[in-house]
Amino acid sequence: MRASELRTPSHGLRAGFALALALFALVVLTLLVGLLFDAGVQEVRMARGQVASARAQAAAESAFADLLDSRPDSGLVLATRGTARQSTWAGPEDTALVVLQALGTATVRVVITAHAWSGAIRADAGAVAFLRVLRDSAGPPGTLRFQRLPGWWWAPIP
Amino acid sequence: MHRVTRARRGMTLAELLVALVLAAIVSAAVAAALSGAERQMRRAVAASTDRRTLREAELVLSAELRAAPADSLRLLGDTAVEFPGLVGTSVVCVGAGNVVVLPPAAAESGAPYSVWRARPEVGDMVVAFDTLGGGHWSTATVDSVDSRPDGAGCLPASGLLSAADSVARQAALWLRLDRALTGARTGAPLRVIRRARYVLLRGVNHEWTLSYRRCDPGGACEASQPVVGALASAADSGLVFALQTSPTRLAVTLRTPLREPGLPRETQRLSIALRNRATADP
Repeated sequence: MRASELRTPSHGLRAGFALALALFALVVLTLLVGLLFDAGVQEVRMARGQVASARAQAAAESAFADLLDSRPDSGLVLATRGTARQSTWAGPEDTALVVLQALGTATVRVVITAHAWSGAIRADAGAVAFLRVLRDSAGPPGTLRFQRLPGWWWAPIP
Repeated sequence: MHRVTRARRGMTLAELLVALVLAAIVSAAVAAALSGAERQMRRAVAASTDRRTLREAELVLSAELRAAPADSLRLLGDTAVEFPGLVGTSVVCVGAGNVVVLPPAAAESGAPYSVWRARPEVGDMVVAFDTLGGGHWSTATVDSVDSRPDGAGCLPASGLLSAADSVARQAALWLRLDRALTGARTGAPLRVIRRARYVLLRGVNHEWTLSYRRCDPGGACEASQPVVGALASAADSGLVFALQTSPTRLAVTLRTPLREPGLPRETQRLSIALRNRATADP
């Protein structure tokens, strides 16, 4: 072998090109697979969000129904306007916070905020309503009950 | 000997034909399978899109209808429904003549007494509940609206505004009405409503959409804004509004459009029914 041939390693450049190309192809393939995976789970994610939203809504409505069935104490009627009380309804996958704000004249404002999970997706729901506190003629003497305002149920909080 | 070996290395015409036939059969089977899979995928995508459309329609309509008074729903043919949509709820802080002042929509405590989906405007209806006079709602129309950082008389003494809110100068809402509201005393529940109309419209792209139109009390409506689409036209057994037997019930029926003429029709149906919406509490 001549000395000039030993000084020119021509095959060394080609090896570097192949490695760069392989890495680039790997990156492109990874991006493509990532995009495909993201598109594939999009519907599942939306469905989970929908489920979580429905659960949160149901939790808020259940908490409101439970509140309507409960018996208020006279302290709520006597409380000065602006007094607020809060309680929590906690379930395995959902939680509802109920805030009662006294308005005077045996009327209360109810704000319910609930959240629920479906997988790793969380959804929130809220509702606002007004209730009156009346004597319960069907119960023992001195007991009170909640009553909805006529003609209006409740409104979702945006 | 050498010639025989060479002949065995090649293929006869019969072998070639058999191979071609086998390849054709396999190709036809693969093509048929791929075509079926592609048709299945198109149907699944169309059904998924339709379900998403119905979910959106359900979210929009059920939220709006739930907040509407039961006796206020009005059908306009079978392609439009009109009802007073809720703008927000609040509590009267100051009621003087035909002016009411409402507490701020933000509070330092995190529990404000006003919740607005949109800012009240001139022409909106205000409905206040008279807690003392037998318990009924009285109605008036907004003549002017102003936001007052000075509270406009809504003070911490009312109980609806904390001292911190007063110091932070949270703006109270000042409404002048066309008449005095009966029973609009401090602490009275109050709603602001605005006539809304949901209409089925055909857009310039020939697709039918569920659109929202904001209307004033006189019946004049602004331009429609598409909310949900695309939907099937009424002539194609698409979205229709139908009132059920009871005047306190409204059923909204939706069917999805026929997107792919060659495919079996996927009937996605949504029915929103408002039940047990008595106008008076038992």
